Amino acid sequence: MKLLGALLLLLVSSQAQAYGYPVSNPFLATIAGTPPGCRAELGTAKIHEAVFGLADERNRKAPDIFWDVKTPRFKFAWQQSKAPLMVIIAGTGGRFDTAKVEDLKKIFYQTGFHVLQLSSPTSYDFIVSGSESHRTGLSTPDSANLYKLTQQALKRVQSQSKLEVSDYYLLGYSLGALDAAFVAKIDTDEKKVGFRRVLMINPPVYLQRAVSNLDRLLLADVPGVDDSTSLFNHYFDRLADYFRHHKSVDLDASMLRYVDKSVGQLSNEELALLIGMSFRFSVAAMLFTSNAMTLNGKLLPDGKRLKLRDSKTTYLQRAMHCSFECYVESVLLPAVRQNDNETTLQALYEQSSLTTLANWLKKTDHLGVMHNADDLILDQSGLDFLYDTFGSRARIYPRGGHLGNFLYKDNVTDMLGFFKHGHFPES
Amino acid sequence: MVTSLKVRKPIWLLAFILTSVFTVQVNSVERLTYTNPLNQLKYHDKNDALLNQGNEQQDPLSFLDVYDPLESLNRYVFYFDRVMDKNLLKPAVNLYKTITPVFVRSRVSGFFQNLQEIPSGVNSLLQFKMKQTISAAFRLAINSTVGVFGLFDPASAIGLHHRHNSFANTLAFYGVGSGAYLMIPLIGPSSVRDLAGMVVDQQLESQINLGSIPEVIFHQPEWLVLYGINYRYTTSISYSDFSSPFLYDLIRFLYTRKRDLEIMVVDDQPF
Repeated sequence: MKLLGALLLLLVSSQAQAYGYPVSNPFLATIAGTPPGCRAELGTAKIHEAVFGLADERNRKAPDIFWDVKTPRFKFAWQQSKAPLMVIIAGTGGRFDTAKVEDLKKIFYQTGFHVLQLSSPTSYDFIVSGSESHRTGLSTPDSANLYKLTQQALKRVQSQSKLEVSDYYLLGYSLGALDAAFVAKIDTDEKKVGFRRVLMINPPVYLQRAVSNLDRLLLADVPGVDDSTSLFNHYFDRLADYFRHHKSVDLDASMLRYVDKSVGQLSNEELALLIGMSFRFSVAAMLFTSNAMTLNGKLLPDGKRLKLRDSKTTYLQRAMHCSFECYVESVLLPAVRQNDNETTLQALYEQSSLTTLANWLKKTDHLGVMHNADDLILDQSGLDFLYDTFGSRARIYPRGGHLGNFLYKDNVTDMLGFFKHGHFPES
Repeated sequence: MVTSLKVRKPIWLLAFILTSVFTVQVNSVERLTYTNPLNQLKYHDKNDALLNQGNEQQDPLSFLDVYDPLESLNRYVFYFDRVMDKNLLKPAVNLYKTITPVFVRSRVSGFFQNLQEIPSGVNSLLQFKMKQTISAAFRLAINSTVGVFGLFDPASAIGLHHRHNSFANTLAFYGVGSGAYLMIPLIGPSSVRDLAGMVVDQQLESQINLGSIPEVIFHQPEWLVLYGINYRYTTSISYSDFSSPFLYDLIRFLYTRKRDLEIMVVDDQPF
């Protein structure tokens, strides 16, 4: 009977450890995030932090409409004494202080890290001042720019005050996670920073799969919503708050209280449209910024240098018709073909996919990944790739959608555990 | 028979539990299958996509159009406002927050809000909203006396909450459209109707001149500065909260739609 009791206990305890993230609908999880009661504690202690600019790197040639982003900027939070340093890369379109980065900063700052926050290469500010080509979205050049920016930022902070750092760590989510893998690869080769551990949260595996899935969400069929005007009428108050909190059009949990009110009535298709539309806004901003910086492209007449007084409304409207695939074909592919006429669209996507680093990822044991089996940007072969490549360095959760669960307490425990021990805690 | 049953039952149970435990163990190392959420959705035909211009007459993004004949000028003012907000207003509010405790700031905002009861009440009356008119009158009476010139808000404690109303809303109530969109120096987004409403409301405060307070505020620079700082302090939104090359369009769109909603909400309230 003793044995029986022990077995029962074992059974009960393994049941109790089942993953408890409560939102089972991946579309809802993506939009609503983690319900406040299930979140890891985000400390309220005062954070010593500031936004820094790299004045020497100012892009003086950019048209005046970009006056606010001509200087590359980043945010840094420092501890008073020697501490490990976490570099965080934002996801698609996100500025260094977008809500998700701020949440991650709080988690690591309260655990005792210095935190350096970087914009996504696909953000408005980075396209203007962080990329020389002003055409971002390709992992190889983007990660080289990020690696350079990381070093410049560290130097800039150290020029102001003595900063004592025990170890360097790197974290990225969504597209920022893919960037992080490429940055980690450069770091292994060049050893200029020396990241001790690197974690990817919900990265795209095949870039083409990720963007075509996100593009496809806009085809979701909602009765009564047959054009974007009725869609906006439908969602207006949520979107208003969403834009304000997000500093970029990037999905976030702070929509929760708005979504909460009527969430029971929202169908999967409605949720899908909301996600697809916000992603499209990010792409529109990328397309416009890139075209206006390079003075060519499909939106503007060649050589058109926009002035402060010029209306950009028609460009926004036109840009909204361009999907991510359209951005890749009209902005990235022609640029790559200038150097190598043979490059195909397929090859371009492959070069910016995690799979291109497969051999290196397999043997690099300081790199881990967290993902969800119901993430909108994956597919079965992408998930298989993560299991095959990372083995025990991959932690796959059954639920969470795209980044819906990264603040869930178990996820945060796993995240911190990985950085502390180099492997995920036993579940 | 009885004894053998006694013996066999736990064995069966044990076998069952062992199997369950084994399954659980296996499951925990088993790979998860991709759930393919995109297959759960119903889709339009590709040609009917939301953003495709199937209908040539109407741009599907026409919701972004706002009547803005002064756009070039507005865009300059918008630039001026962003620079001023960054370099003057926000630093002033930060200084204000550093040198005063929350308690003081709440008293200041209560004081200015109390004065707003006058236009709120008058405009509710003009819109035949008797309940709100009476509520505003009682709030003004209670908070100006028991609440010491509005420094405290005992009216809320007895269930009379502040409901902002304005002459711009009254104009809308009588069917006046918003007119051209305007960017106003230091104040930000507005419209011809909303600007006119603001001027009338301020005149209303000055004319009624409760306890000579509005006269003092609008004629003494140090009071006007405090009025301005409090105005910015109580506005939670900031241009730099957004990061987009389409900021002007976003703000214009959000402001216009926010006003539409406010007017809808005011119209919905019971008389």
